[in-house]
Amino acid sequence: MVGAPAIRWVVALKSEAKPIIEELQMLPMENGMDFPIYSDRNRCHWLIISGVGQSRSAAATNYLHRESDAPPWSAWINIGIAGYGYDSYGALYLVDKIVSEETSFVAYPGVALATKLPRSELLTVNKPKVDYSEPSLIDMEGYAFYEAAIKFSCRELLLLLKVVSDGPKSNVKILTPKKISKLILNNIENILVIVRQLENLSKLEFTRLIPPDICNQIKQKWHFTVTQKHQLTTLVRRWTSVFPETTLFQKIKNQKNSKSVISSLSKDLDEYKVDWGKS
Amino acid sequence: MIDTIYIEEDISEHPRTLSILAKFKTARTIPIQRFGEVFNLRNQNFRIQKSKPSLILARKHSGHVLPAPSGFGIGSTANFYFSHMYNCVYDCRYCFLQGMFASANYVVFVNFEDFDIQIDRIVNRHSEETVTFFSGYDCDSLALENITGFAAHILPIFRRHPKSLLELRTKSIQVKPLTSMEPIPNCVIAYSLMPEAMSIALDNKTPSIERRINTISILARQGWKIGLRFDPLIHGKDWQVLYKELIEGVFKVIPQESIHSVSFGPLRFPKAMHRDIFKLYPEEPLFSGPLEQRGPIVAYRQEIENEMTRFCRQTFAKFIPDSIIFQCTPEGQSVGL
Repeated sequence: MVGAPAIRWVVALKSEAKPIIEELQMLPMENGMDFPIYSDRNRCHWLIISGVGQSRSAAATNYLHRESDAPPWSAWINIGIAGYGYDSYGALYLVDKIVSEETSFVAYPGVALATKLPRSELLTVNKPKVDYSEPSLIDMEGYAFYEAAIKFSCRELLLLLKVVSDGPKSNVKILTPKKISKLILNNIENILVIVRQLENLSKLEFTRLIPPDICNQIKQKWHFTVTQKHQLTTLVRRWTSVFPETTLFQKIKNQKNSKSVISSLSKDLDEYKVDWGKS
Repeated sequence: MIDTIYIEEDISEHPRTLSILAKFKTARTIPIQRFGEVFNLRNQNFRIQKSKPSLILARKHSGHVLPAPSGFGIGSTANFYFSHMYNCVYDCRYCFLQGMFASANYVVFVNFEDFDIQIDRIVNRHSEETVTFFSGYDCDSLALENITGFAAHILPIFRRHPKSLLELRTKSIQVKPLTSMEPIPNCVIAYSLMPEAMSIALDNKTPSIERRINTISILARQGWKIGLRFDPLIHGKDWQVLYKELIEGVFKVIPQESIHSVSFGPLRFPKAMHRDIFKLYPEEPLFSGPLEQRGPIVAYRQEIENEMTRFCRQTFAKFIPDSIIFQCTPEGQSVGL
């Protein structure tokens, strides 16, 4: 069973990923495919190196979803370098609008995280671009990553972070893997602060989406039909919101079958009066 | 605090847009074509958004004023509602807005003048009858007033339509636009109320009931007509005691002659809406009460609903005439009692 939090990283270059892999103590996973995948010991953080370009980023996002068995409460992060006309070399930006240069389609990642990071629009292009006249960051993956990841999550759990690596006064041609790693490493503290927030949101989503563990114990003890399983899940969630979860099994342990379990829980809730002074 | 404002390019230079933006000097502004680009999308997380909502400034193109749903009314035969805003700064756990929109962001329509035109048209079309307009159906009428200025704009319109009635529904205590003008006899300031203990648990981010009652008292003293809205009625331990205390407390400080109407209605959700809200807040004790599905709605069991409405009706009747008591019913029309 995959747990919470669940964070999935999609990164274009090994040199961009290196500081993150080291910081989160990730290890390579054996998968025998084109995309190298890393994961931390707890299998909370997974990272894939996609290579450059939109099609590779989309394919890697889909691949990571499958290979890591990413649950619906996963947060997805795309981090990497980007060009920028304002030439704030080395600055970390949070992306809140993405435009595909090819199609002019627009996407809006969520902005629910509390952060003082500067924000910017991102233009995703298919070929390297050194015309920095647009007031946007420029990359080669962001839009495709968003389009792929939004199928598995929600806007509020998608994060695009870009570090300015080139611009009118910073020649893209002199970038080296070492310099790229340094650009990410220099921002690692800010990156981790925002990732911790995402982890908390992922945990909250886990709690919201996954019924209490005791549901599984009940399902193992008695046989429930599919309809009854749905009923049971709802009843257990309602029951545990007003009674201590630890007393639930004790309460139903003598029931003969699934029908009487459901009936017993329903009866409790039917007779329950919320004590608003205490809730 | 709002730190992101999406702005439809079409209204980016509208005076009202500029005036709102001036109140958020440090906010990040993001241009959009239409508000649906960020508001109606799938794959949004209402609960996470609600923790830090953004503001969307937009133009309303149609449907400025719409017929009120059946069951909504305080005595008129023609009932309409309008919403200059979608979503609410408050976070009340029983509120149907939680299941209504995919997004928790606030949409403010800045073309107020188009609302005026539609109101004028409807009043003229119904010249032989009293028309009631409700504001505060898709939002709280006053909660964001210091930013939008909508109430200050719309209230004077009703001075020229004395046969019509406007209800501003709110939980807000920001009543500066009301206290700084002469009361308008055909405008009702309607406050949603419930016992304080329930409100503390369910009315997140709202002013306390005590502060609301103080504000009602100020408005009443100034001469505004007051609506008292006990909707939804919430069940729980000692509910009779709690509602009796509340109702008696309110009528002790609000003179009868200031009260335009009292309405009340049981807690009810359309089935799909209940499912969506429960999915958002499965740990919420409100949904652990004695609710049942009855046809297309989820509500308290019928006998509980009957007992609560009977009790409240009888308690109201001790203080005000039946003619100004209205019951909002889930399945049918408002019932003047």
